[in-house]
Amino acid sequence: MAEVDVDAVAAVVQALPLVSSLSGGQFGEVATYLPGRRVRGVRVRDGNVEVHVVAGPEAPLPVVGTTVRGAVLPLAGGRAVDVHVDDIEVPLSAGG
Amino acid sequence: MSQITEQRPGTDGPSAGPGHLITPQGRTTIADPVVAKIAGIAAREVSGVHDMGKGAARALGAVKERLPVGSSSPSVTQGVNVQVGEEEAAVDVDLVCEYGVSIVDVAEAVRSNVIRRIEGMCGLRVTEVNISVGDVWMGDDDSGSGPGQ
Repeated sequence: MAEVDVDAVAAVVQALPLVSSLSGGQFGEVATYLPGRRVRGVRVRDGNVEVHVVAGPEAPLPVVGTTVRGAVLPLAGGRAVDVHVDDIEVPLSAGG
Repeated sequence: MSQITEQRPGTDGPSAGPGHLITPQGRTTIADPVVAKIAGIAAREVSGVHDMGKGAARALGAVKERLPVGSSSPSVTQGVNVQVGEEEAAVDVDLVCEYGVSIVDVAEAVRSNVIRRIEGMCGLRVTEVNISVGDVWMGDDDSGSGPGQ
């Protein structure tokens, strides 16, 4: 399968308005490990690309999933795109 | 300490349906804390709910709020436990009601609001919302803070 440009994946996901940020998972371990640096929240496996995100406030999560998948699919080189919503931003009105 | 626990098997409310979460091009997974936050906010929105959590969690929360370090706002997930599957979720909520409200009505309102929010925002089917009312808030007997909402 074709190579995946993880920086491009991270950039398109980060640019989506429904996404607050990429997420490193519970322990910050979800990343692509490159020489000298890592790309947080994106992991490429044989059959799929995993994208971990923090959703923005009031974002309907199935729409977040579809939007992220739609944005990443063209870059995924024929792989499936699994979207993990790890956390959600809390609207300011709700406190904490 | 009174305790009311009701079960709500199955739902027929409006739902985005789980079909959007699992597709041939990949699946969308929603982590537990996401569902817990949505449930916590939804429960607190209901009038008559004063606070959430069991005694120990609330005492700890009150102490944490006074600490100068870390986030000072109480956690929205206090008093919420969730079990999230691929297409379904179940929620346990611990409430403190205001004195004078109909606890049964408040519990039912919390249940329907939690279900509406989770099904609307997550596309997960909510199988049950178990509500436990652990205390009643009697007013400003120990602090100057006003009633909830």
